[in-house]
Amino acid sequence: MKIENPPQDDVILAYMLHLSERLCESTDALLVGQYRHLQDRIRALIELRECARKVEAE
Amino acid sequence: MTIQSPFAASPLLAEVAGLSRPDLERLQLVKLRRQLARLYETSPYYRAKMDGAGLQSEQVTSLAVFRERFPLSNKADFLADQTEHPPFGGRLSIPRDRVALVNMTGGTSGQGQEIYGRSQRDIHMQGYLHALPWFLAGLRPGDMALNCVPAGGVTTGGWGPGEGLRIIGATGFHVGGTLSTDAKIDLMLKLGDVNFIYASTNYLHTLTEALMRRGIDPKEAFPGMRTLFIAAEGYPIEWAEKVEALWGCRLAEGYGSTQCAGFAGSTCDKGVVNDGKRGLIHLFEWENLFEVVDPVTLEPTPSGEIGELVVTNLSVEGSPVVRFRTGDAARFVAHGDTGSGWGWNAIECGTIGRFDDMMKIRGNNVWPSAIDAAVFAHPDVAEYAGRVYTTEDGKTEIEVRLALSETAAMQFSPEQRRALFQAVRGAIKERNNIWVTLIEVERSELPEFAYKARRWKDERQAGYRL
Repeated sequence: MKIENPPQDDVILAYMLHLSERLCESTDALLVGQYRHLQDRIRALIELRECARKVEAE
Repeated sequence: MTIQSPFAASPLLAEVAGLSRPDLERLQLVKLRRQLARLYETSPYYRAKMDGAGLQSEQVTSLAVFRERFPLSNKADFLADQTEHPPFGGRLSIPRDRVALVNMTGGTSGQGQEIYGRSQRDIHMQGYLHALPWFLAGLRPGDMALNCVPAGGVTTGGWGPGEGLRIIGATGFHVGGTLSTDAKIDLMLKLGDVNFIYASTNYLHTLTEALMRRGIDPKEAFPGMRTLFIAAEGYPIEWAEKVEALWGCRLAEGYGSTQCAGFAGSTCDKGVVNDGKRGLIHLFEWENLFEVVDPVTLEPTPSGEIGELVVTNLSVEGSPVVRFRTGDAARFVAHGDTGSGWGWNAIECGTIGRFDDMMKIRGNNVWPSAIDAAVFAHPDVAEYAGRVYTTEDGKTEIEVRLALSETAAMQFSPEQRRALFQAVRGAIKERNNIWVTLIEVERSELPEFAYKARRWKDERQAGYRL
């Protein structure tokens, strides 16, 4: 089975993760939880794509 | 433990609070025109409304033009729209495959349930419109929070609180509707450091009563409690002061609904009572445009008077409401009269009711919330249920079955009972101009309410409701 997993998505997500880390440095207590929420969603997407790539490699 | 004021803790919030009234209204107009232009393209329901009024978004050059020319909608209009275009109606303004959550109204009116499709963006904003009022009330990232409103299902109140606690970064225990009151108390005692509780007014009353029954002093058992946040029902000032004293923390209140897609306003850090007077719910008017109108003439209500709230969502994507008559009755306080220095209009705490809940009894307009206020001003009363009926000879009678608190029920002498009943009867007469017949019943004979209380039954036939 071929799994479509374009590598540029990994690059975009990695960049988004990097940017979100900067957002999470915010001292605005109303926003910082929302930035962490965004960051954790990006981390989850990276993780689930890594999993798919492992399947593809096997 | 003291925390920073919400405005010191959030530069974003400080910026919003700093908007002058003219700046806020300019922002509303920009968002409104954008919303109307989008709806004309995407929503058959609103396109028909605009065509019918001969009004295009570019013609809405001021908020006054919008109020004068854009047609009102009500629940019956939305239900008819859903019947014609099931299930969402022509109000849905995103493709169906972008609807990520469905919210429905509770159906307690008996007319039917309105259906709202929410986009992913709307779900985040629904969370934000729970997080924001709670943040204003003292909730902070990392706090331990108890949500006593039943979670899940199809209501906005079932999903918004979960999203709100999640995105603000609090640890949420969603115990409403899943744990009994005693089980909730056991959990709270295990957790110890609970900082925040969200509950309906009625359920906070039930929880507080249950703690007292078990001999638990909330102030001592939960020293980290910072905020009790209530919504959905009115209450007397005396009750609010008593609850704040028992818990040793601030009581805060929000106004929200499915039509507002979350909370549309909340108290500031002053809470619901200040110097023995009712506080204010400040409206988040950059998200919703509010009008407060006389329900008969539809003329704007002057500051200080009670009127019907009419709401327009300025940025909701999925199923926005535009000039929707909520049927909610609230005392309007114009921004200049709030004393806050902000440009936000407000409504009074603790007195929000429903125009369709109002009963005409012996020529008087009687609001269940006003009777609640009269009854629960007496801390020895635990619960009550009211019934209006017509006797065989055509007279209108009002019966109130009333249960005492456990302590009062056990300890009160017949004289104390008589005095209490006389005081409650007098308070109902004073606030509502009606005499009622009071009957004492056991607490177990009256229902417990997990969310909104329904205490009144009007058993009169239509022709007798005068």
